[in-house]
Amino acid sequence: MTDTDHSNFDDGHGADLEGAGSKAGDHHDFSDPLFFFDSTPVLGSVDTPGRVKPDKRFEMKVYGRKKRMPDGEDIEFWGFEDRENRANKEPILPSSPMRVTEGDIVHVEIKPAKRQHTLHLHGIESDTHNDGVGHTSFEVTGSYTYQFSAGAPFRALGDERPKTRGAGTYLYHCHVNTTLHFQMGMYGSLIVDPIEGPGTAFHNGPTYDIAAERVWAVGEVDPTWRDLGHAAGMKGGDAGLNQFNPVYFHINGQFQPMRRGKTNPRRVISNKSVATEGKVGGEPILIRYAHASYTRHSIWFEGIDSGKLRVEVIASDGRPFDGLAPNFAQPFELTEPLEAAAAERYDFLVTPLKKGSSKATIVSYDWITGKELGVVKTTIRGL
Amino acid sequence: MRRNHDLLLEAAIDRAGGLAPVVVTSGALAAALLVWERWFHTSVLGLDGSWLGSLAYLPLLWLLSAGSILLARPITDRLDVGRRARLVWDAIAICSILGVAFVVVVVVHDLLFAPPQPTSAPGASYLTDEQGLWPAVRHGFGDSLVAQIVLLPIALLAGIGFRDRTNAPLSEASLPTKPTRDPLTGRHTGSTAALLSRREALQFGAAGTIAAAIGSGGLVTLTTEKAHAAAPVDVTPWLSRGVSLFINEGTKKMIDGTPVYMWGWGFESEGVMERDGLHTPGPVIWTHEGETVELRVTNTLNENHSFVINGVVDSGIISPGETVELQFPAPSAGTYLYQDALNLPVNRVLGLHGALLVMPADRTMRSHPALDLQYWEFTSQWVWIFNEIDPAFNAMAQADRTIKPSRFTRDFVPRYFTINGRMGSLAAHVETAPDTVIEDSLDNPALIRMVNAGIATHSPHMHGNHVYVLSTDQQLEHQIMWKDQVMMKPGVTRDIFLPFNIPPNAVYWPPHPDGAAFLKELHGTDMEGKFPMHCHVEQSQTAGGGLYPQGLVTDWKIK
Ligand SMILES: [Cu+2]
Ligand SMILES: [Cu+2]
Repeated sequence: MTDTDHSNFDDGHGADLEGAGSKAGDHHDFSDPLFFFDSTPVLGSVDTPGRVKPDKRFEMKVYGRKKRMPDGEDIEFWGFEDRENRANKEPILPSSPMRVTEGDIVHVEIKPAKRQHTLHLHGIESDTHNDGVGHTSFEVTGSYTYQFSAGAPFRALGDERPKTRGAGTYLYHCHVNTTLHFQMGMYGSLIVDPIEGPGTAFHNGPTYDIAAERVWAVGEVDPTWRDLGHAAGMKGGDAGLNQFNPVYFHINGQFQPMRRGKTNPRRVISNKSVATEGKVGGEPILIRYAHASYTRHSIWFEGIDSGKLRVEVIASDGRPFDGLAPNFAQPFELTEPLEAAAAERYDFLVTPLKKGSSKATIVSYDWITGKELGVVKTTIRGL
Repeated sequence: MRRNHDLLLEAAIDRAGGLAPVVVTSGALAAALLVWERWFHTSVLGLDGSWLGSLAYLPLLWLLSAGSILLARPITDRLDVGRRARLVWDAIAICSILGVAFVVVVVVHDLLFAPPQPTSAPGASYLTDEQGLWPAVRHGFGDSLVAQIVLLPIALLAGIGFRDRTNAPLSEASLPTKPTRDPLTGRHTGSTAALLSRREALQFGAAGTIAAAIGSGGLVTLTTEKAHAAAPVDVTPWLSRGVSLFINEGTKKMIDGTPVYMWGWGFESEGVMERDGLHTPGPVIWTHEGETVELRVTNTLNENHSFVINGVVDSGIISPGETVELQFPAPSAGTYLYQDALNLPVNRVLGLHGALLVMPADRTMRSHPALDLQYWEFTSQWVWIFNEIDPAFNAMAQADRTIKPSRFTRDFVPRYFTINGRMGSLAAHVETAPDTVIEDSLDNPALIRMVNAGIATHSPHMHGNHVYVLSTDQQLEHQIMWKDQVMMKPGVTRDIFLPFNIPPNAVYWPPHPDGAAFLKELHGTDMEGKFPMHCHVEQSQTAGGGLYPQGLVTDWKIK
């Protein structure tokens, strides 16, 4: 395990930093291929406009370290690492998780150190300067604190909603050269608990066993992209970022065992951060699935076939299925594999019906050919 | 929080139905008030006074009337009443505000000059010969109340007039000549036109030419020559009557300058003609349930093509040079993909695709007649068509080589990704993509009809607001989910509803002025409230293998 200390970050467009960040307003030629490159402001450190006192605070440093793959290769990952995880030199994949409660004012500070990054809180909808998108706001090399309110008032469907409709599963990530940076590992989960706290899926929603709850951030790794620099392709030239050929497949950075260069469907990921168990007749298990890659997924619980599990889909993309409007989604029982596209999240409420272990499977399919690329499997055990 | 007064005024005018109706209605109210007041004073009350002196008040009354209209709408917007009751309430609110304003005018007039003396006329009992505030107020209220006899009917009539125009997508014949919002799409056509002329002056100078034509949907079609010498920036026209389509070929320039041979569409319809055009996607064809669609499709190329809408119409083979006439009843409400279905998906992906949209027979602004209007009525509607390009196959088509679908699907390496035929910065600015970039004020929901004409599974992601997924391939979802990601498989159409809510996690709204000012300083333009929409299968954010994010991206903005 080597600490490469951002070595790969240096062949970015640092030298052109002064040239970057010219005003979009000065720049009327939208047909210029470098339009976004030239008009995205790259700044050092920026103060958060209208900064208020936070209820929760995260301080994310950017790291780059290598991790060993199931076939023995050492692969570079980049990520965000929260202050509390920093002592741990083991690369975190995905990036440090965040957990907040509805109604919290949250501060997420990033400290990119060398090259510019942003942190986009995917599914959290704040104002533009806290959205973390370079071409509509700015990228930073020093630091910026993203400010948002978790579960603020929704004015949806033309009427005033309670302050409690944003509990659920989110997926934050870097929004700079995202094709590369996301895939390098610069993503992590953000969980918003309802005002009832952990153990309840959403306000007035079902309860679950906290010890058995799991986030399944399902990711894929294309080793060829590891040779690319921080700003690969940004100034033109074919960096190959239109072709994604994943070889390694994981849940929460726990890789599916391999055989002859491919994932081995007979094995499972048994690591306790992924596999889980629950008492028959006890509180159900909450699985927070997040698609953290670029293929099409198909998710299935074999325990449904064998009568060991009952699985309900209760929320998606940080929005509970609470049936508040006509035709609006209500929790439904899973009876066939659920398909998911890039960055979708689904929350599954899993009830063990019989004792014994059964597999959960997520298959990845190529976005064009539909060819099966790999699989991840883990187990859910009824006690 | 800072409020942008210009925007507020614009929003108020917008709410009231547009500038022209406001000016006309307020003019009518002011004139009626003046004439009535004069006639009432002379003929009924037996007072005398000069017409000329009264006329001097016309500009003031006109302004007050306009102000009353602008103030009244936001107030009645809060009422939870039906459309007809709303008309009455609008009229009452306008007349009440104007009535009070008129009292103030009379009082000020009386205090500055002299109040009218009482006469023996039967209605004149509210006049006294005393001086002072109280008699002036009595005079003002009396006149104001009596004046409601003429004001109320005018306000009511005017309301019926412009309510109809803002809400009902009626036949083309009923279109106003210069609507602020296009009645079909709900888009701000007025501002687009203004923007074009500004752009013409600023950006393209004398060298650029802009040919603008108002399509039958009231939309603007434009072609610019300077920005793309080889490929004109074209706005997808929305056509409905007498539509002829031409299957053409030509070269388009990708965002990195690479020229790529493509198939595309020319068209002819009432008032718009671009027979030799190379539109990819083709024109949006729109109609209502219960109507009959008539189309002529001409194949100008030297190989066979076809025009197919799954389950609706199939032209069969259209031979080189042949024209087919198609006539079919409009299918049920929803969004349909039309395509050349020969050699599927090859011909479609090489450019021969577009959208047919069918609106409910009752002319309501909703995706499907079974959707509750209280929740799902939209203000504007949009079509977003996704596609991708592998120039290697386009080159094969140019060389008239046969492309096997199996090989196409197996070997396709997408290098360019488009939304409505454009990529990246060209797709993300209203100047170059007025048919794609959505800009509106809060609580003006947009219906977005997404069509995946490409070969890849896309995952469009909306920043700023979650969207409601209403239907897939014209079938209403029985579980409407509130999503920030929407899976789009090849060939699929899905209608989504962008609510234009306040971004729910913003600590401030309107956004903090320091943030808005900072972004404006950085970008030289207003960025606050602007959010991207992009496909989250991030390979789609590239062009030619890099240039992030010059791919399937656009922006939308809360004004
Ligand atoms: Cu994202
Ligand atoms: Cu994004």
